[in-house]
Amino acid sequence: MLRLIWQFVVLVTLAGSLAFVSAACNGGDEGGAQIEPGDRFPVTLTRSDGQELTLESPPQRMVVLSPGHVEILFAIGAGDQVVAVDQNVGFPPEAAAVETRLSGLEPSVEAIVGLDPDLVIVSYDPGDLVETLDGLDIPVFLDNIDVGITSIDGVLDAIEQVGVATGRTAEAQRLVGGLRERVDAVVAAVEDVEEGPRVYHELDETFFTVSPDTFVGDLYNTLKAQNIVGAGEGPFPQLTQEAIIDRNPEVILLADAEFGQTPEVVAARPGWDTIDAVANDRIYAVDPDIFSRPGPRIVDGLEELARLLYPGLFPEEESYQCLVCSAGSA
Amino acid sequence: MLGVLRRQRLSAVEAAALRRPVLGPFALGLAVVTLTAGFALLWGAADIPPATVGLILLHRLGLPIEADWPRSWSAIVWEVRLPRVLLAGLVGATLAYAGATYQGVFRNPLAEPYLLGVAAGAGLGATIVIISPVTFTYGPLSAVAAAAFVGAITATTVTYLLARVGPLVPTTTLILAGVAVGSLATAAISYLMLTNEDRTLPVLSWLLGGFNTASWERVWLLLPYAAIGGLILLPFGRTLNVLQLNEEQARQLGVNVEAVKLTLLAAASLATAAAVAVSGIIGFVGLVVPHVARLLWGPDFRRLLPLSAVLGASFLILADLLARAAAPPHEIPVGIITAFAGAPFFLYLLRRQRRATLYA
Repeated sequence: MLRLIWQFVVLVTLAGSLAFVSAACNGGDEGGAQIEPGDRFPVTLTRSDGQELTLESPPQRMVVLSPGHVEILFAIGAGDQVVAVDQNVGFPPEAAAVETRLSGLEPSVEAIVGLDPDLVIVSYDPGDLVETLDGLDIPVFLDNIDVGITSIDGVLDAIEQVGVATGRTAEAQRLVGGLRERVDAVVAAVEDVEEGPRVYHELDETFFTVSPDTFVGDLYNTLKAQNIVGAGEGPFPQLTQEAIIDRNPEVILLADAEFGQTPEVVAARPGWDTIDAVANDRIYAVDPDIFSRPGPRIVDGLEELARLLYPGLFPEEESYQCLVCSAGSA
Repeated sequence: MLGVLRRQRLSAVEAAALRRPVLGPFALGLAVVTLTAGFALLWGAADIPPATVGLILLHRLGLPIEADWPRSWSAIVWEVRLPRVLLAGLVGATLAYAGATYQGVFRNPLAEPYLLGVAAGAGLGATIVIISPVTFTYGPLSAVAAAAFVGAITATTVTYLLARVGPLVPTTTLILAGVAVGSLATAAISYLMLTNEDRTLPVLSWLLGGFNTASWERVWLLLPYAAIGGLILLPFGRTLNVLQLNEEQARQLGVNVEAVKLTLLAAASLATAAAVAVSGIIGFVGLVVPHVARLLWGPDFRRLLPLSAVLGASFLILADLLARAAAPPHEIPVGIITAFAGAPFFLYLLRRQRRATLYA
């Protein structure tokens, strides 16, 4: 008799726990994935390798191994949908606070799979990672924005696309709208300028620079500045010192000031005192992160460059603080 | 010990005959280097008329010539081109005579100055500094060059200590130790490059070697090492000839083999370390130039050392000319050019070797 009661109690407990567990699992599906008006799922994305990727619903557990995409995602409010970021991410602070940080250069497939992601975003393919993830049926979006984008418009389009992919279309469009307004304002301000100053944007101390065919180069194109490197010579050519001195830039921008190439050091380089930029003290250090990641901050970069290149047209406000300059600059 | 050598002293006539073949070709070699350097000065990304280049040089040397050219041209010729050509010449000469020395000491045609870990050690030192967010200078010495030099010396010393067996340093063990130390340093460099992605470009640029950042400071930096190294090695020409017999026979002929090996390798490595510190790791010069010199002037080390030096200087000046003026305003890494020149030459050497073996 007691035995029967005991069996009955065990059965009820088992059934109850099963029901409870299934309810909890199903309940999890509905949290967070709101499909707003404007979002149309499923969406199909085209990867940089030409293949198509279809997402049935907004991804909630994204592993993002590209700092540029991280900035975009957090800017459009999709930060909650990210579970792991690239270890080089420092901005915005919310992204830097994400606990799980993985290497984008030497990714550990095990670590990625262990996070159970529903979308992995990379900007380039280190060691056949994309192929491996495809084989494991993990959706991976290869979006080569670091080298593939060559203009400001390209960056804005990438932001919109990320918005569509994550179910944040409305926020992305709002953000892009605001950014376009700011870009248009800068373009309008330099409308009357015939020819801008000659500029040299230094990437490192062995004289690598950006050409007009990059999105950084496009910032200078938009400002009508004359890059001392012409188009069609590759995105990041290395120049000889002689060429730089001969082409005589009027403004020099340094992306390597953190590594010792401050304006003072550059001005002291032998033979450089004949360059206009050195003679007129127009050497400025800029934040290398802003000028290397295609994200919403490049518009901050554009506005800052506008102030540096055309001090007359864009006067500084009283409480001006250079948001994009690094420590060693004017 | 010297008694054995004295018995083999030559008559005055023979001695005179042996002296002549060095000075003549050497003087010719110096003339060629000067002409090559002068030629190289005329070319560059800036289109400066040759006559103006000459006038600028004379003006800078103090002659009363009116300066009717833009200041930037004067800066380019005197502060950029001239130190670059001089540095290329010095580095070429150093790598070449160091290479000849290594080939003589190891009695191996594939020996070259980077064998004992100089290149890998220098690379590691330079990489560590390049990835650090602070770059400081010790007066005219940049931190990268200093670290590269220290790294090279450290690696070579470690190789030597590893290979030493009591008072002896067996040649084979030395080579193996050099390979081990080099592999370790290279692995460390790769790891540092991968974990500091934003600095990969400058590190790679340094490792490939080049004279894009050449300056008068670097010329003065290298000159004492190159000169002293050369002066130490020069009198050992005859001893190196004797060393080409195996070490046992050389010992019986009165040569203190261990002391000689140590002196030669130390001097050559020191000079090479200084060269690598100011110009990065430029390959093929130390390997190929002594072979070409041997083909032209024979295997006598009394001739080979100085003549390799002048040949190396001319070669690297020309290679650097291509690096900076073949596709202006771009800079082609000079190591790529020396490799393109060196590889076909090696195929040629290989063919000669095969034919010699075939018909021996």
